[in-house]
Amino acid sequence: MSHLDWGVLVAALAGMVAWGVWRGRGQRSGEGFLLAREMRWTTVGLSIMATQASAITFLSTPGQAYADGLRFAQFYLGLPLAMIVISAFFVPLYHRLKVHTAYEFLESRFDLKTRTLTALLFLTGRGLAAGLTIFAPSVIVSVILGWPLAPTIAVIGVAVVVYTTAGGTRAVTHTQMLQAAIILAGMATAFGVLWWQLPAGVSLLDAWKVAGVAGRMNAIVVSGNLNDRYTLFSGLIGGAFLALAYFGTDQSQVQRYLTGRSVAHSRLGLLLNGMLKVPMQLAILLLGVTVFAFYQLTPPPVHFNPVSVAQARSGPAAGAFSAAEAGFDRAARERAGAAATLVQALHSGDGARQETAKVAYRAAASAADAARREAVQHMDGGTPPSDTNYVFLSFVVGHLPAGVVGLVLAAVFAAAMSASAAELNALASTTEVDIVRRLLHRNGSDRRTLLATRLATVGWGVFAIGFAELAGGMGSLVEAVNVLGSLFYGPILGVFLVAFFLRRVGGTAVFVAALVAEAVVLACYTLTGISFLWFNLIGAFAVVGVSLVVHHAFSGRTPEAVGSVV
Amino acid sequence: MAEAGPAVTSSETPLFGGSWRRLYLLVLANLAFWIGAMALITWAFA
Repeated sequence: MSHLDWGVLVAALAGMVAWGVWRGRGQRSGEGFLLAREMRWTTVGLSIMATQASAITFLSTPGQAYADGLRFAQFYLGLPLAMIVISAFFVPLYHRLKVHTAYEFLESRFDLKTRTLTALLFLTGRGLAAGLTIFAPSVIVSVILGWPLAPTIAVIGVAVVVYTTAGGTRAVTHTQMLQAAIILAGMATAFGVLWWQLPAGVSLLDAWKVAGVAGRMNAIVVSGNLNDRYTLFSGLIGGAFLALAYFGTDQSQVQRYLTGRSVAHSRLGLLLNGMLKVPMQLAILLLGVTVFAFYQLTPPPVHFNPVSVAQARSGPAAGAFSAAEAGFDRAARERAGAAATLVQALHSGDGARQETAKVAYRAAASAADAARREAVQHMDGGTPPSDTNYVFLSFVVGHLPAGVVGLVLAAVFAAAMSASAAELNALASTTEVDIVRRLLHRNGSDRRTLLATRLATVGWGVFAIGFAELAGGMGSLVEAVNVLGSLFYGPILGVFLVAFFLRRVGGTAVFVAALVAEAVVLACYTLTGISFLWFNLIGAFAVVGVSLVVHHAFSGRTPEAVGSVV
Repeated sequence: MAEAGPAVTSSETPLFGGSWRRLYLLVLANLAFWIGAMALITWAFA
């Protein structure tokens, strides 16, 4: 990295921390630290978007488009539907009850055990996820730039802990405004420079046409196959339930819109997210597709993880790998020639010539893909890791000018910090409100709340940094934590749906139903190939169905057995 | 979306009524627009 890149990155990092500490200064109240109900709807909306958009979103999504095209955008189609449901039903109730956490509401609706169970599930899942939020981008940055991993993790983690502990929710929310601006500037600049870097005579439209011939402009896929992960139906239905679970019941998001100064401001913030999310994701995916087209016209490396490539070149299969890599380089150059011919044919307007060029390009692309498979099978003992996460940053470092590299890295750091700050803030609030203040110190002072929440923020920060530092040595566990997280959302959402819409069903019925639903989801995961998006719908409906059955089976005989009826 | 938004308080917030219904319809129309745009992209670049 050049001095200019370092200057941009250090200035952005220092600016984010200083801005957070300054905007959160003068915190003397535990209540204000937990939840500052004072934000305008624009701030609420950007805070919601900055929380969801972690660094891995900006690193992985372009790589996802590189490998699989635009179809991933369908994953977000259900989100606007969820925003409407949460705005209409969840927000007014949360505001009316003046809750600090989503789980606090469950005690007034059901009982203490349901509140404590969901709060503990959140703390477990989100606590581990907070470590991954820091670890995942750090490992990618360290691999591409050759930085040592441990200090990279420590810099991101400590920076977040400093301003989150100093200023609480207010600092997190205001800093997210600055971070959103840095992220937007970084991604827009990267897109602009990529456009400018396309080979002479190739327009952006030409690049997308080449990507279209390669099947990467597949934004809508209409398929009823449940095993097909990203389709119009799985996105609209499964995606809506996932978004409902995430935004309606995950405290890291609930806390963001509860900062709205009124119901109207919270609602407008959520609806702003509902309006902007799909085009924003589509833009990031189009960035990835353009990177793909760039590498069709310019030969790419055989694998985007330079550490894996270096190991393969010096490993036991170095000879075979080098020969296969040379074969791939030849095939990639031929593919680039065929892609350039295709662009010329597209400019000619001659239909027959275009068809011939498309056939030739597809054949060359197929040969290059085969050559790549041949090469990567000699990496990492025959099981090469996916390089999807490394595509974008590898391109940025290899092809973008000085200054822009620093700005994109600042955007990655800003995204990592905005997501993990919201997580630490929510973890600390839930620890204080649902566990410490509810179970241990029911009559504590406001001063004690402030001190305890700050200590909880530091504690969760240290836990997240520690988990991130250890995560490198347990790759399979990292993957397992991601999978486990997706298994719990459906049943938790089901508990909230029963709370909102089945007013006669009590605490014990929903508690039993949640356990049964969790077993159903786990059975689907282990025994079927159903895409994880559907687990949210299956888990939620299982809770609703089973709680109704339990309620009707026991109501009229032992009312206590189904808990208190609200 | 106007900055002021519908002037409601938490105790008298309608679920779907009044200007909120128009806002929800706007969000749905925006979603329909982007699904249409994505379908058009799929068709045009196929």
